[in-house]
Amino acid sequence: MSEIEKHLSEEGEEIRTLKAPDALENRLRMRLKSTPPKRNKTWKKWSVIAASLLFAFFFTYQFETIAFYGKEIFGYDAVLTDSLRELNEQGRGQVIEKSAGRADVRRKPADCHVHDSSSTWWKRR
Amino acid sequence: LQIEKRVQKAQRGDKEALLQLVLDKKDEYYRLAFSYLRHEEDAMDALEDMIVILYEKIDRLKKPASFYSWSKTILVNECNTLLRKRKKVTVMKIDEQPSPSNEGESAIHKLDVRRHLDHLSADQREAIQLRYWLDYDYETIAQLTNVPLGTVKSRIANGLKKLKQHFGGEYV
Repeated sequence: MSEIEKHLSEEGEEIRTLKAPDALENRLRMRLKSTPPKRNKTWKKWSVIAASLLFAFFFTYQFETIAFYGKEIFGYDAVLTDSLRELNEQGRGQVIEKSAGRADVRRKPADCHVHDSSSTWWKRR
Repeated sequence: LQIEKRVQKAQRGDKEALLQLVLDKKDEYYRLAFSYLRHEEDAMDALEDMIVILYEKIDRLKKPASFYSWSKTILVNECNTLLRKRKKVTVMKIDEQPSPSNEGESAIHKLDVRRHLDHLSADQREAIQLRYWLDYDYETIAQLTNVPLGTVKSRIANGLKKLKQHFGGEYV
């Protein structure tokens, strides 16, 4: 041990023999008493998730998104196509069973023709 | 075994169990804080901050047996935070203020060593104080200051070298 290390160690003697002040216990106890008890963490997590979902639904404008994906998910188109046949069977469409087209183009056969106010569908065989 | 049971109790939110754990080694904690802050009130403040953090984070402690080294690491961090704050607030040298614990100190060379310690970098001073003032071994110091063992050794060696230069051969 060098001279300098001895000095350092001697100086530490003062700290090594130090005793904690008597007031310490009381201070720690009071401080601990004043800290709020811990909350249940899972409860906290779920409330945060619920709150953010609510926020997303009420404060963002996404009705168009919902409309678009709603159609995709619930298969709006498929339902519509299927119902064409039903419409036809109900007599609300018009059965054609003819094919049309120019001589140089491949002929397009058509089964029936359903008509509503906005558009016309050709249903192919 | 006693410790582990108490830690588990404290992890379930028992404040008294946590308090007893700390009070069992209050002198050790106090000395550690004092070696950093060299001020009675500040050391007690650091301990208070520590116990709040312990209470909030004890459920994250995986090994109950390592409670003391874990809590001392937290105390060291708290002391460093306080030191940083103190640096911002005051430009006075704490060493030269007569504090009650320094009263008995009469030998001049002791003051000398202390003043020279301030020439070291904070990391070197920290390592040297823990080693020579509190008599901690290298491994404990590495754990407390959160650096590899080799770093602790080199910090102490370099710090000693620097101290010798400052003493200018007086004590070498």
